[in-house]
Amino acid sequence: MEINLHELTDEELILEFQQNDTERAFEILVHRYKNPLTNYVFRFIGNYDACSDVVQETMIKVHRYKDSYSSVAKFSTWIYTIAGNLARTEYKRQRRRQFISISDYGDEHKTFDIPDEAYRPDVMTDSGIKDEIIQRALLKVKDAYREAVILRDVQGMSYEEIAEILKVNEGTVKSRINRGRAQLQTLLKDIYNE
Amino acid sequence: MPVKDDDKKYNDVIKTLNQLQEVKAPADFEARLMKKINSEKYKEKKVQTIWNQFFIPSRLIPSAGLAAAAIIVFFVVTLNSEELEDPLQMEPRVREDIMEIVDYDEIKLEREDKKQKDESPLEKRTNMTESSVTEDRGSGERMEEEVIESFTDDEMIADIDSVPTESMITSTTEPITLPTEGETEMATGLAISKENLNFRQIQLSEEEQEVVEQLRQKVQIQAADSLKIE
Repeated sequence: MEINLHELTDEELILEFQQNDTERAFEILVHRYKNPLTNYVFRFIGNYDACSDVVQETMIKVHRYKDSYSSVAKFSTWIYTIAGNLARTEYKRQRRRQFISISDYGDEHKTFDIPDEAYRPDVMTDSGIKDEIIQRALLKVKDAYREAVILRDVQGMSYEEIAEILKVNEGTVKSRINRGRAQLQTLLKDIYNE
Repeated sequence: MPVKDDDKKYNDVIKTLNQLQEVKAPADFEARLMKKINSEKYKEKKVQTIWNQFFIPSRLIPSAGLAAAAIIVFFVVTLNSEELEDPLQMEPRVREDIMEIVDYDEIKLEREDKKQKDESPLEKRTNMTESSVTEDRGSGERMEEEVIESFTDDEMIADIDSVPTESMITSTTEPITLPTEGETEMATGLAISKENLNFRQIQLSEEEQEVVEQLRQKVQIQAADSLKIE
């Protein structure tokens, strides 16, 4: 009897991929997670090209280390943990690169206006501009708080699942989410006053 | 519930974040991904084949032999190599059985102690000289004094100095022993005769010889008289 892979859960698909090396099962998983992961990583690092590379790298790791997944945990927790780790590394690398490129200008006490290619008002709609402002505000929130807020309010995950992904207890997750929200509220007060 | 209270408190923020447009993956995401995965697989295969090539028997046997030979050579070289020490850099060997005597007075004192116990060969020699002087008393008291003076302390020390240094440096248990005439002869390789002992030979004039003869006769007469009286 032929199995309809599309009907299988994430955990069943990865099991099929582990046991029978079914590439189709992997492709279905990629199809299911490529957009949620892209959204999560982009909101965290704020750079689309880098975000795309991070998600690609996440999928490659899933493919290569498929046997390290244990069915005890949810597949979504496992793949978000991988993506989160890679996103954090990429974000740190970006910040370091930005710091070095500013230092290369020579004069330490001078300030520079760095052109931001990502934000282009001429090609954006009103909602797009609002999104951009929110994204900039998100990037100003502390990394640990931002990560928790994105997983909760953008991805819609439960506190329990976030705690598993971030490898902290639920109390810490709630605390981080509240602090992140508080920071965002301060940063976005102009939008709410409109 | 505190969580629900927090949700109400930050309701605006939550609503704003929920309304954010979903960022989607690029259209060619899957194609790029599969291309990367296939290239990774190719890399793995390539690495595996190189690894396998290294361990094929035709290469493994000579390389194992070479490795074994290298190990043997290493051990042979290591075992046979002696650590040569630069003699100029070496510390002098300390001989514990030897005590260095810096002060010469110590040697003299020991010699005097020895003198009290038994006569040393040097003293014997001095006595012999004295007796020879008494025999030749006819040549006058001046000559006697000169002979005795010829063995002053300085000369005695000089005599001691002539003894080899090694014998001066004595062990703590053995006292200093001055060499006998025979020993000196053996040590130096030269026989000590009366002629070599620095005696001053005086040629007496005829008048002096007469005076000496008279004195000798007087002494003999006095000696004879004293014997008769006894």
